[in-house]
Amino acid sequence: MTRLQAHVVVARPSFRVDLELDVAEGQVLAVLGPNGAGKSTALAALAGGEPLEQGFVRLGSATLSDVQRRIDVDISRRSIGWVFQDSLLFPHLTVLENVAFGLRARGMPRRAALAAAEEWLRLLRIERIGGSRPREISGGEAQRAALARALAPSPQLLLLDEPLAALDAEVRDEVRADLAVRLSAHRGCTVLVTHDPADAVALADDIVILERGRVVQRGTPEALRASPASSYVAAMFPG
Amino acid sequence: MPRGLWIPAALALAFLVLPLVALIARAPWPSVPELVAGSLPALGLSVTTGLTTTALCLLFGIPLAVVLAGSDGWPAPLRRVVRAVVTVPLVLPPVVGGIALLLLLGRQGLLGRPLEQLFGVTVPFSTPAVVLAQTFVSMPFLVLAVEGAVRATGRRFDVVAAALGASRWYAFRRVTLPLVAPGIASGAVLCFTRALGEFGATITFAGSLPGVTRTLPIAAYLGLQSDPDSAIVLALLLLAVSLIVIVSLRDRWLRGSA
Amino acid sequence: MTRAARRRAAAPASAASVLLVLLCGCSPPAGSAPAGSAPASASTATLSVFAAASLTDSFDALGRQFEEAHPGVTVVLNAAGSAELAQQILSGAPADILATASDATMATVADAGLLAAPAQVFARNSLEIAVPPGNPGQVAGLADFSKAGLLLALCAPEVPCGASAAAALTRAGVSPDPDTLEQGVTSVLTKVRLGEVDAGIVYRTDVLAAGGAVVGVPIPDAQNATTDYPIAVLAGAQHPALAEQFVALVRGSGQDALREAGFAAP
Repeated sequence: MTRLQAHVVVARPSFRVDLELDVAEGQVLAVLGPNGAGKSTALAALAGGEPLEQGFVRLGSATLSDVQRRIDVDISRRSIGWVFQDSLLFPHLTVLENVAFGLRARGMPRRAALAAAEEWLRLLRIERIGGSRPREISGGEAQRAALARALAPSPQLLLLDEPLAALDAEVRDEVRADLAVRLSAHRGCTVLVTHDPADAVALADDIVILERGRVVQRGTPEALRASPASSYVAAMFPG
Repeated sequence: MPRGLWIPAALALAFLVLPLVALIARAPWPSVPELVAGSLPALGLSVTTGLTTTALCLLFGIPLAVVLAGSDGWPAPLRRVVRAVVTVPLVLPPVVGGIALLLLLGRQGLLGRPLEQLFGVTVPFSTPAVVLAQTFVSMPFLVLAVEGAVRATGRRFDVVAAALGASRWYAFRRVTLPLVAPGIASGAVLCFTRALGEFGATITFAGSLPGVTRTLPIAAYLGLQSDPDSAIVLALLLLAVSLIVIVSLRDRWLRGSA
Repeated sequence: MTRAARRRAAAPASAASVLLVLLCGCSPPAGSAPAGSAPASASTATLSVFAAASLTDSFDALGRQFEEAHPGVTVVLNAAGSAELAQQILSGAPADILATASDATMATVADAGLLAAPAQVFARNSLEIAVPPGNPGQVAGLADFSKAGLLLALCAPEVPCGASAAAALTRAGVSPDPDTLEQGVTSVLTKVRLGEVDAGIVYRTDVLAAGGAVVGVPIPDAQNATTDYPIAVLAGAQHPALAEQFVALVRGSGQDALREAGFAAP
């Protein structure tokens, strides 16, 4: 049973982020907030890429971070998939090799890893570009490839950091639809960071509103629309 | 681009090309084959020591470059000192570098004396000494080129690789190294050509004995004292080797990075 | 670069600075600062003297003597290996006087028609074995130069000190096993000074000039090779009359200084 339970507190000279999370297996939690709210920082803290000042990250029975117990598991051993606003595909590898990277890094033989990667390309409908280099493909294709790469090793925790923000509106809708299908099939927990309520509504089961590093409200879109706790929430979910 | 730039640009190019033209014009062409045959030992020594130097620089210089590229979190004074140390051989007259190596590894040197007393090993006046002298002067070229390349690629790909489950070593081999390969290639070329032209540190630290420590530049310099024709031919040989290396590597591996 | 600048650049280690001056004696200071803008008037002339490295100390002294006797005249000394000096002059370096450590190198300049008058021998030098203090290699004579176990430095046969050393070794019936063939006598001396070699063959005057830094092992006259030191005014001299006077000093009252430095009379 994979369940993400976390309380991450990150302190920087200019701001502070304090976020509590509880995501059940197969569920998608969206962290919604304006730019500069500390969403990406909180996500990086879950990934182990940002030191915690206080708190813990537990995934299933494993403790990934715990400040008091001085536990801090390396990023590479957390079983995470991390997708960013830019695809960050490795430029020296083909799309197929990019998608196979996580499997190869975890020790899967080359042939098997490439076969599995091929399957992921099909699932995201980009099997045509497997042999292309990242610089030869479009933004939408690159983001699908990045999703395939993150999902291929079957991570227990999928972290999506504004995965659709860099795409044109039309492409964004297509990729969002495919992403929704993939997320419903994903058996781990997912945390989606976004500033776009459309993403949150389409992809998430539950929404947390983060403003200036603090949780303002949490709930389903309907609940948020019914009684917004701030003017920001009201603007995002107009009644 | 303002047109006025063409004039100084042309002058700069002419300044670089004309000495080579003079060298080629003055070459004693009829006796070139014979003189080249006579300088084969020096040529062989230069190429072997140059390649060995390049290999050593790659082996030790790449790790140093990667460490330096990640040194931003170090205390500022430490970072500055390390950076200065890496750059010193670039600004130091090579002869001084040779003296420093003698004071370190010579028979009376800091390390050289115990080496001789305990193991009976003397370093100066040997082919390995040539390689050490060349490595001392050419290492910075490789380190700076590779460090620049590592910094240019940034750390984000390291994070991506780690998130995908790659150990640091796996990420280094499969991501960092391939991404900085163009920097490594151009650094290696700089390193080799610098080693090939090395004179001052070599003659000071390793001396000059035909077949053992007398590399092409030393042979050329000595030739100038007695037989300028042979010096010209040796200089042409050096030029030819450097050009072959630069032209062939530039075209094959460095396209896009240059 | 001037000698002073060179010395400044090498300031950190005193040993290094000495070596620098010795080893870098290759750039012609004649072309630099003081000599560059010498006015024609003899009263403020700069006399440019190219002299073999082994003459450095004695010609420094003679230069000062000359300057005292000729107020307004500055003597600039470019001391380097003879072959190198000859090469510089053949390439057009501006100089008034050339003094070399061998007839052969002087001949290359004479053959090119660059001498104002035939060269005249003003001193002789002979060879001596230089060893570091304490003579760690226990070198007793030229015969030791065939020992593979010793670290030995000679001048390359292309330069005068190497040619002389080769002649002496031949005369002694020794086939040498050197570890390095240096491009000048100063480099050989440097390596002996640093204790990096067990012995080197240099000029008698070099051993004297080095003071206690090296120890001399004499070479018997029967084996020794003597070299003539010729001096000549150059055809391209800026101040031929002054140059003549300097040559006269070297061949006349200046002989005392040369004797003191260990040179023999011509």
